[in-house]
Amino acid sequence: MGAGERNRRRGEISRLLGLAKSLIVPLLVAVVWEIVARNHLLSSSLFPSLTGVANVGLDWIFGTNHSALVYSGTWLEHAGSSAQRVLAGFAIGSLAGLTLGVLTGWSKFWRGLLDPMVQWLRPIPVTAWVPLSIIWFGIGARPAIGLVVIGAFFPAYVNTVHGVMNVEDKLIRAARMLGADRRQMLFRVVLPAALPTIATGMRIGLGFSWMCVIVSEMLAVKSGIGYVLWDSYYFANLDMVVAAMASVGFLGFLSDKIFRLLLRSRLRWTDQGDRA
Amino acid sequence: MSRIVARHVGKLYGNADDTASTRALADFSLAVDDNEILCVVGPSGCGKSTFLNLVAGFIQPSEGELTVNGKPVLGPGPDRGVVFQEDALFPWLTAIENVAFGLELRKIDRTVARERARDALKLVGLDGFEQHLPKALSGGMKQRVAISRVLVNDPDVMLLDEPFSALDTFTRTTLQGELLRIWQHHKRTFVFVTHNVEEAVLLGDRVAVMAKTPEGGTLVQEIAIDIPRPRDTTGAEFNDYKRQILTALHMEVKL
Repeated sequence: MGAGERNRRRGEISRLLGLAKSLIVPLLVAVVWEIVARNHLLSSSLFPSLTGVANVGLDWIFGTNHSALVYSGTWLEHAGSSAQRVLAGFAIGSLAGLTLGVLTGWSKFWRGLLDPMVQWLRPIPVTAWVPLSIIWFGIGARPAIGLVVIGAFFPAYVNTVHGVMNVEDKLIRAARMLGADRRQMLFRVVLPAALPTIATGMRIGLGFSWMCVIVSEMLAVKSGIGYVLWDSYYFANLDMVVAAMASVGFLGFLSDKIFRLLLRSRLRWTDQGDRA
Repeated sequence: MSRIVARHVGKLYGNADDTASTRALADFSLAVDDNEILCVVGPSGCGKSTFLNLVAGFIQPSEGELTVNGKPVLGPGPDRGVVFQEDALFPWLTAIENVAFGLELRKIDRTVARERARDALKLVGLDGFEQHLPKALSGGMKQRVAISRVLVNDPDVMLLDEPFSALDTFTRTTLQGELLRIWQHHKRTFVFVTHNVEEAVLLGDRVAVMAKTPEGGTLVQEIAIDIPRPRDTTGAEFNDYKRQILTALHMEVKL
């Protein structure tokens, strides 16, 4: 057995151990949860059992036994609605945040013009925008997308400004020495150097996007995971409420994973890229 | 012919009437000949890096006149390549992309640029490392890439700001040899700033000794190093020059 072979095997073993380790806490939580629910240590109207949630969740997804009632077999439809709103709102919000962030970070003129306004709007919690978004956009997908735009905008903006303003001076000097004009400096030096910071802001924004879509679907939309969550709460179907919560968690996790995979090759040069 | 001419150059940071202003360079006059290696040596704060930054065009003189090729320096440009002290490669670009960067800025055809970058990397002994990112290269290799990214633009003047000071002795000695070999094959004007007296005597055709004074950094002495290359760093002649420079530096320190 060669040294390379041994190293690879050691790497596989440590990866398996890592995976096993990451499962310990979730398994413990699941076991305790199920014990508490089965033995009615807490009232079942307050505390749904894991198996109950799994049963309803599976029917919601696959339409197996109609335990999810009207929602039997509709998971993909609702998840798709929410995901579309997140995608649309995140794309618009991030692009706006990126564009204004570059202007603000790059030019003193735009910084003086735009930044005070943005900093003044930023402390307003996204949820406070809900009434206005309903009044402006009515009931349906549009207020949800509008809210996601706001949620995705600020982290992208703040991190882009920070990333653009904090490019290492030695890189700027090196590029000037090699003959870069202002435009080349922006597109070939500043933006690539700021990309890790910008990507972090967008990841935070993606998380906010899911929060925004759920809130607005609870209040203003008749479809999507947030709608199912709120509707099930009204009918005191706690199994379904928890299944919807788990769905959002899964979708948020999945979208973050996809986002990181899409950027991995561009961030290969950072430590972030190594871990993605 | 003189490539670089500095006449009574002064550099002031801050306003002259402000007590917080500092004078980095005072009444500095020096001419650097074509194809000459000029080493600038002195303690920190003597203005040697300021002089280099002025020639590079990163900063402008507050007093006096500074010309390269007979024209005043207005800003940085690829005709005056700089090798920085610290690693200033673009970390998201591979070695060959770093070297081709300057050529591509000037809209030189991509395949031509890559070909010339490949040759420039070969010149510094880095063939086979074209696709490596800077983080996968050692300190010495990074400085080789930095030298080749400047050379590829065929500059009139190469400005080296303590380029080997962060390297271990063995790597430094190797790179000093490489630099001389490159200069012999691609003659041009080198300005090499260092705080290492031995390095200055080894590399320089001439050594400019600088010192820090209350009025600002200034030129103390210019010494032509009249030893044929390759130079024996343990020879008597070499040591005479070292002593001469050290004396010049010490005298200033004692003042």
